[in-house]
Formats: sequence, C-alpha cells, structure tokens
Amino acid sequence: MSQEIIRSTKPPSKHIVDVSSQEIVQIVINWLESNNIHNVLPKTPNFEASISNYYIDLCLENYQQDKKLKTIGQVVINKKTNKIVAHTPMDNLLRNISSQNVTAVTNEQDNKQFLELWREEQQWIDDHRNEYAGQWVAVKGSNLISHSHNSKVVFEEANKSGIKQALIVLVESEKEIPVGGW
Amino acid sequence: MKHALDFDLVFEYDSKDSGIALPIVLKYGQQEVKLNAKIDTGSTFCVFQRDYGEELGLDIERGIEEKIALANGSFLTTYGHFIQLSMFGLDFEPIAHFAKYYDFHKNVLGRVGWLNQIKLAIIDYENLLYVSHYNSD
Repeated sequence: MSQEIIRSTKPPSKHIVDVSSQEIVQIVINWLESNNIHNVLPKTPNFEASISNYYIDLCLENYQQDKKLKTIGQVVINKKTNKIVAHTPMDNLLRNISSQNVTAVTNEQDNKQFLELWREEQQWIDDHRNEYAGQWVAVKGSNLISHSHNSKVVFEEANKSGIKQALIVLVESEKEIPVGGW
Repeated sequence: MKHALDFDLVFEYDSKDSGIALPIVLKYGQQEVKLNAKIDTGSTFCVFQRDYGEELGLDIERGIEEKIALANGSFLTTYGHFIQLSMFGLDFEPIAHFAKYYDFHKNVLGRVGWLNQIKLAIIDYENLLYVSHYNSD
C-alpha cells in the first residue's frame, strides 16, 4: 500500500552518510576499521545537535536494505579538532552488534509491578507535597525511606536501607507555575 | 488516507502533571537510580539534575561539555556521559547530560539518544502514550 508522507521542506534524513562533511564520515569509518568493527556505518540525525560536537549514530550496515537502520551505538566528534571525544563503550558496541535481541521488553509482569509501585509513589508524593516541598525524598510504593534537603543524605539512606529502585526525587511545590518548555 | 503504526507498549500518564512524566531508571556500572523525567521534544539532549549523575558515580565534569540554550534566553552548561536508560523495560544507551549546577531541577528526555531511538505516539486527550524501540521489528 502506498503511503503519503507529509514532509518538511528538508526531507527526513534516515539514510547512511548524510553528515555534513565526508571528512567526518571518514573519521568514523577509520575509527571503526582501527577497532576491527565491520558492517557498521555512521549516520547522523537530521539536525545540528550541538555547536561543539557532532553526535553520530552507528548503524548496522545490512539494515540499509530494509531502509530501517538498527542503531548500535554513537560516537561524538569535536567540531574544532575533528577528533572522536567519546563513544559508546566498546563492550556495549560489540554486544549490540552481535545481539539478536537488543530491544527485548522485560517481563510484562515485572513491568506491571514496576508501574503499579510507581503510581503509588506518585500518589504518595502528591499526598505529601506540601509537607516535603523543596526536599529530596526516597519513596518505595507508599513508604517513605528518607527525606532531606541534601540529596546525598537521601541517596545514602536509600542505599543503606537495601531497598532496590526507590523513587528518588526533589519534591516540587504544588504552586509550580506552568512550564513553557525550558 | 489512513496511516497505521504498531507499538509494543501503551502507558497511561498522569493528567495532573504539567508535562508528561515517565518513570525511568538510569544505570552506570552497578549503580542505578529511579527518577521521573518529562518528555521534551524541544530538547536536543536528555538532561538530568547533577545529583543523579553523582549518585551514579560519574565524574560529572569529565563528560562532554555542552552549552544548551534555555527558553528564557540563558545557557545551561552540561556534561554528557554514556549511560544506560531503562523505560518500561526498553533499554537505551544514550549520552545523558548532567547539569553543571545543582540549581537546575529539570529531568527531560530529548531527541539525541532517546527520541531518535523510539517510535512514539501521544493521545493527550486520553493521557495515553504509545511507544516502541525504533529497532523493534
């Protein structure tokens, strides 16, 4: 079935090697080769992410055929020096290249429990907002683990409690004005 | 002409929030922390409070420095680090930017490393968010 796509004046660039400079592409390709990484090519998003750096996704080459690129990592190149200043940790990159199932969703039941707990935590924060506004709190379900104006105290006490994955947030005042982006 | 998309997950978000807040887990090494982050399609990067980066054990200033323009015309300095981000059981490995200063109190999911890695649909009238990993078949 044909699909009509409403495009902006600049078409979405989901194709390989659309970075602004072939030199940048070559830098990434050289880096991949020097690390013995094959069948991976650079791709950039269709916008200038930063004035200082290029953020370049790395995609599995064979996905070109489907016009669907499987992103397996990222490199960051400084625009002044044209040097790679950061990249996805090599272990993760290699794992993502070889993995057949990098996007697996965890057990649905686990996910459901996670969300149920989170809703309790959100409710607890709403119910106690005035009491703890401006403080950091660690909450698990409807149980308060720690609170303090100092985040380090709350993280430390939450860790000491041995309770895994408590929600730790800075409680905002209820009278927060509407946000127009930031 | 109608267009159909498939999604792996649907999430009912809280209509009382000023934005669309999601529970996420940030991980680095053995450390992890659960927090709320808001979807921000206007944000280039995923940006978080400095406190969370420190809890993960990151040396914040050793990250990739960026100056990010804010809506009020000022600039925010952040430092980017490769971490793991989990949301509804979907795993991502974005560069997360942590604010230089403690007085930045927002946690947002932006385009690089998050939005450009997912398929997303929002029906705000029903408080429903549909999401899949872009790599998902």
